Amino acid sequence: MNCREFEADIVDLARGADSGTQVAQRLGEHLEGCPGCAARVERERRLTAQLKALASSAPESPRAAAIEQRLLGVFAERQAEASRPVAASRPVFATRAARRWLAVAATLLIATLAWLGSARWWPAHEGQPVATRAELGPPASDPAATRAAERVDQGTVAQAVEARPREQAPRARTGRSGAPRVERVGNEEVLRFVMLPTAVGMPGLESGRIVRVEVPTAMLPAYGLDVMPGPADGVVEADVLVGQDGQARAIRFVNLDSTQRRRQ
Amino acid sequence: MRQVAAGDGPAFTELFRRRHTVVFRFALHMTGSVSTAEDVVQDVFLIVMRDAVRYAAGRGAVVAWLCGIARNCVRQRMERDRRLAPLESWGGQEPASDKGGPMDALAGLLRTERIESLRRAVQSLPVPYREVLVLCDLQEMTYEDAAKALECPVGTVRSRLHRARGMLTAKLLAAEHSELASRSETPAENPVPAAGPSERDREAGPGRADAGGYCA
Repeated sequence: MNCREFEADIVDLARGADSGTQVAQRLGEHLEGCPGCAARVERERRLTAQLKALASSAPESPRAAAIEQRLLGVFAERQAEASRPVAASRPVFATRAARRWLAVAATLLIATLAWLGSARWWPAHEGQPVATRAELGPPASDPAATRAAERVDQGTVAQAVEARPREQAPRARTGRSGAPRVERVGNEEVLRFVMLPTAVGMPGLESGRIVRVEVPTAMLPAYGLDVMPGPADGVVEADVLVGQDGQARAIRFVNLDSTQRRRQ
Repeated sequence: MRQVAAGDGPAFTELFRRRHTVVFRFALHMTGSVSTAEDVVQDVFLIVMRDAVRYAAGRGAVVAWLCGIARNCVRQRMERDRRLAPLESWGGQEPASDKGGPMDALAGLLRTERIESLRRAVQSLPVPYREVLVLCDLQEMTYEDAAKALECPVGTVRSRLHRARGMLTAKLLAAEHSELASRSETPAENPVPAAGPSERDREAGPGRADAGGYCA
């Protein structure tokens, strides 16, 4: 063992820590032949002794009894509080189960409000069922789409929203009786534009363009449509009316039944 | 601890009476203030009331758990009150091993002075090193328990202790050096300790072989 190896164990040796018989024997052999390390160990031992003296000079807590009494009072108080009947000591929603039920009820309430809110945005139509089409519609620059945009420019979206009281608004149910009627624009079957909730409060529509997009089926409930039976990862086509400021104002769904297909 | 968690008052009393000194001394050595150390004791046992159910016996000794809580409380208090005066004298008592013998007044004064100097040196150490030194050397906690209290590996405890003792030795030598220089006109290049080894050995008292053992 050389001095460097000894360095790692010098504090343990001075503190009297048990480092094992073999290590202790090797340390002893090294110390016999190395006055420098022996002096170092002696210095560390003196430091240990001084620290021990410091430790024993520390006083007891002068207010230990008072602290004990105070803590015991708090302890007894807490135990008494914990042992009280739950109904008497806790509010109704203090228990975990009650809070869970409250969360479920709140979720249902929010979902109901969202359903009613989305129905409010749906345009007034008396319905004929949505027909199907085998192929995709024309691009957004198609004259038919432009005509539809013009109708939006004339305020049909706002009229549709404002004209229908919420309680009378039928839910859009694709593929079922009672679904909103569709219009035929060119060779496409489209629903009417509905104003997007995010468009509320925006400046009036001066000009705009229509952009054809694909909307995941899972998003349909957000626009008041039920998700149809079928693959969960399907998509439907929609036209988004983008205003002069680049902000989306309204949306309409195109060939709703026929274009729902699996995402490639 | 299970009994405390179950709300057993006498068990809590027993725990307090057995362990409050360890917590108090740890906080005292860390902060140097008796009143702060008492506040820490109170904080620690209030936390014990609340969290006794979370104590897992397999994860360390009770004293390590308590010192871990105390360490957090001390750090919070030091953080809260940076103006904490850590060097107030606590009026230390004489070591038990010296009681009962013929007391030389001068030797007693020197010893008290030396202990006071050591205490100042300990409290001037950076907190991470001070914590290790207090737990391992002043509280005589094992490396494993200290590691659990400090939430760090055993190797870190050993290396910090090694470093802390090195810093402490340097501070003590510097203090003695300046003291000798101020007391006499002798050139200060000879940093001879104020007391010889025999005096220090006498202070160490019996039982040195137990150092590094378990905290009481």
